[in-house]
Amino acid sequence: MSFRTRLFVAFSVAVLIPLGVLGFGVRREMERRLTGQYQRRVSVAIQAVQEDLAGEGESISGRLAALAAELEQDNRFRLATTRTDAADRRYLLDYAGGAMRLTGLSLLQVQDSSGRIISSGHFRNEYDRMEPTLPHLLETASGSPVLVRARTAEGSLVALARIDSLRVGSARFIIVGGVEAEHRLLGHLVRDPELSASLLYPGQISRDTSSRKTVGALPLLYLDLMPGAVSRADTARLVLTQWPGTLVSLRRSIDAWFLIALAVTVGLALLGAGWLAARISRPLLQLSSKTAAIDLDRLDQDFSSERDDEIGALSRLLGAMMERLRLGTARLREAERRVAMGDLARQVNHDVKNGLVPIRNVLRHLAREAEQGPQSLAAVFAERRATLDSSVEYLETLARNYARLSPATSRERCDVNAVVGEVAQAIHSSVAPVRTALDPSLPHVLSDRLVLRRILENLVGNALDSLAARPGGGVVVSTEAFIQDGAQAQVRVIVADTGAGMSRAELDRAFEDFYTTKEGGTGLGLSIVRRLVLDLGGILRVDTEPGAGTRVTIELPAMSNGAAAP
Amino acid sequence: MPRSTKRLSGPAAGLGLLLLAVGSGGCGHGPAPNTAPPPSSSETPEPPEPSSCVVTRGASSDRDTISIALAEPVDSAHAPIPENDAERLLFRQGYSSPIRLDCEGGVHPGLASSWTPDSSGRAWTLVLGTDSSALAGESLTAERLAAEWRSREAAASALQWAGVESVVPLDQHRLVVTLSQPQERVPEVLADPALAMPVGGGQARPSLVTVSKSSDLRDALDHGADVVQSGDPALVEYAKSRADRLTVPLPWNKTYVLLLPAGSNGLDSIVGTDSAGFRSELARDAVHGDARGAEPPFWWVNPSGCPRSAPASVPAAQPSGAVVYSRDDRIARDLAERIVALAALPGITSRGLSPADLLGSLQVGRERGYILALPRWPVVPCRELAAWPPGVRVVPLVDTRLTAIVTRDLPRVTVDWDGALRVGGDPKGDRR
Repeated sequence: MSFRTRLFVAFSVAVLIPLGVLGFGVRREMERRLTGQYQRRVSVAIQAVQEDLAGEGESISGRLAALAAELEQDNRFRLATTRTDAADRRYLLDYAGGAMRLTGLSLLQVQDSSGRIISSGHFRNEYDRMEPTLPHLLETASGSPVLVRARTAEGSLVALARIDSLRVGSARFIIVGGVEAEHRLLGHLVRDPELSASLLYPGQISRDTSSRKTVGALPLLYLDLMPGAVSRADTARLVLTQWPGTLVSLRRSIDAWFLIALAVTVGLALLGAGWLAARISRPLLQLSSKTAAIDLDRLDQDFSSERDDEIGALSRLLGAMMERLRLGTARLREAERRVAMGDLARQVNHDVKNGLVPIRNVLRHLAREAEQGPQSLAAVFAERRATLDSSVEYLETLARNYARLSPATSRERCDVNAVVGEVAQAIHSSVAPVRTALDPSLPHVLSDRLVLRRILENLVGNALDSLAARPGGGVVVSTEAFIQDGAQAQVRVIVADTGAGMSRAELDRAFEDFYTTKEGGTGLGLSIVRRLVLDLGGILRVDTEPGAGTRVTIELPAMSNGAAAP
Repeated sequence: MPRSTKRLSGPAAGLGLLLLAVGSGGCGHGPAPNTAPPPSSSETPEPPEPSSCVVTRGASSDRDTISIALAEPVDSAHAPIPENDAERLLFRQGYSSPIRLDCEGGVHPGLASSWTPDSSGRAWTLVLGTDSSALAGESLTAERLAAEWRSREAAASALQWAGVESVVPLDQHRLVVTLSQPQERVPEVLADPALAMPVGGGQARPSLVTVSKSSDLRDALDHGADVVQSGDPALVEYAKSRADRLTVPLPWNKTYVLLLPAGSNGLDSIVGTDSAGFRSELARDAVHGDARGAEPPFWWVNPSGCPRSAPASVPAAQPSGAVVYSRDDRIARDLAERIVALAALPGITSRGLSPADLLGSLQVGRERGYILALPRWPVVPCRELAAWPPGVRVVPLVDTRLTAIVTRDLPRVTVDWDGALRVGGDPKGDRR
């Protein structure tokens, strides 16, 4: 997991968990309080409904009492009930309709003592029907609310009914009145808009259980007077249901706002985490890149930083470390140089001694001959001259070889492709051909032409030597230009062979002076090549594998087009 | 009061007050010169107006306008065929058919001043009066009248159901109506409103002033309405209490019946009580208006000359449980409710329908029963029968009538065959 991802996760967890805890707590507390509030409201509403039902019953009773008192004084009613005159009968038939409208009732019947309807307001033409069950039930209900399903011309009517009676002469009459229950009564019984009342008749199952919650039920006496129904008292229920819409919408609103806040917070957290991670990880990546580029030959990375934070401190620390590394490397190189010089001095001493020993022996031999037999001096000299010449030649060769260790260079504009071509032509090997693959747009480099040639001759020679044990291979010298890290253009020269290659141990020692695996080799070739390349400001890289060949890459800084040779 | 020439231009809902200029009154404008040829001696003489059809004989009065109060909505688009009593009263003042039938069936001149049959009794020649005018005040010619009848679907239907084979104009004033069967009497279809034309010239020209919907007809009487017709007992009672009003019961003009489509059941107990006593009880108790038990003869029993209806067939769908009626008809509703109350069976209810829905339902017979108001004497009985589904059973219930309430000093008011009041007009028939 990357540092940036960890930062993201840390930010998210740090934000989400407290926010989630807060949202859960707010929601739970609000639900607890709202539920309690709802329960209190429902209780109050149920009580109000009971009181309203009782009040409505009282109101109906009051209206019936007023009608009864009025009818007792109504002479036309008295005549209509005692005579058979058509006009009086019409008055009787129409009486209940007018009285019903006048009193605001939905149901009104006048019955005689036998239960025969003599006037009906809600169904004018149902007179003469016998309906004794209704007054009997209402009388036995003793003031309790009674629901009656009565017949009308166009269907039925459910009413909350009450009863009263009057006496005209010796006859007793019963008045049954009521208020329509399903719409008119239920509509104003419940004042809370989130509560609603509905009637469940005997044998009926609640119609709407999907979205509403039943919060209370009041039993009511019920009588069905419809044709075909059994005329007996039963129990209906006034069911109060609650629509939890406000609570649900409040919950949804809280959830929605919580999710919005969460999304905004997470978004901001992610943005912040991204910004912070970028601010931290980008300099770290840069430091990492610079650190990866550090090499003993490339100790020029710039770790300077203006930042005053940990990144700046780390950068400066790396800069100081690289400075120490640079000093250490310099000291190491100096030590190496000194060691090399000591070795060289010892080697020179040894070699010179080796060269001088025969000479000294010859001179001692000549000196002895000059003392003991001067006449044979010439012959001895002639005899030993070859030894002298051989020793001198050896010393001259030794001198030339040592002269190669520190050649004098002169920098000039140099065409690498041309030098490669010269080397390829100069070296004619019977082992393998030397092929070239040259970049025609290769820029010039600033170099000593002879140094460059020496480098290439050494490398091509080594490559050809490596092919001696593996005939059939080849050597390819290629050039190309490139730009590294958007900085200065570079020239790359690659000498690749398919020869024996080197082991890791051989490669580690390949650049040591006087280390050679070739018979008759001086062990100075690659050492000199490396030194020459470094002197030219370039780098040298060797990729090799035993049995697969070796690939030596030299990268030299190119001259810009406008640059002039010093 | 201005002499208005304004026509009814749209529905006049609710109560309306009609102002009527009386052409025969002392308004200073006499009838147009009669240029028609005088009736020949062979023409049918016009009978005198029977006294039973005269509401008021036109006591001496110099009034040139009268006002009529309407209790029902009026839609002038229905003219000249009325759909309720108010439209019947109103259209009768502005439209005239070729002949006029009084409440006892007497024939009087309308658009036609005279009529004569040929020897076979099939071809009747009508002579149009020249004081009649058609639309836009133009003189009505025989050719134009025939063309108008051809273009009107209702007129063509009435003539067809009455057995009229052709209507041919002879000249500007004469028109020959040829029947499929000879008749001794002028065809009564010529009194049908479907054949009526707007009248002008010497005839009355009505104008309408609407009054508030909330007012009832008692308010109209209080505001001076000259002519009111109603079946409301309370209104009649109120009018009787006023000394300046005359209340005259009009002839029985409607018979309410219960139509039972083929396949209808559940009302057999009601049908079984089809008796004079049952009908009288219905008229006494169930109807909120002036009614009596329906009295025979009933014109729908053995109608002559009508094509036989198709044999009774059970409808594809069983009739529903409702006894239906026209929702604007209070008496029909009372009767439907009483029948439902008497039936006292589960599922049987009553329901009011619009006139169009009622007619559509009747044609397919999809309801259990229909309460219909039929004319007491239709001039084209076959046309009425054609609207019923085949195999229907008819149970007569009650006859009803309206009461005319008129001011005592009103000019002449008579009653037509269908119970419609005709205000003004020529009193010569009455004088004969």
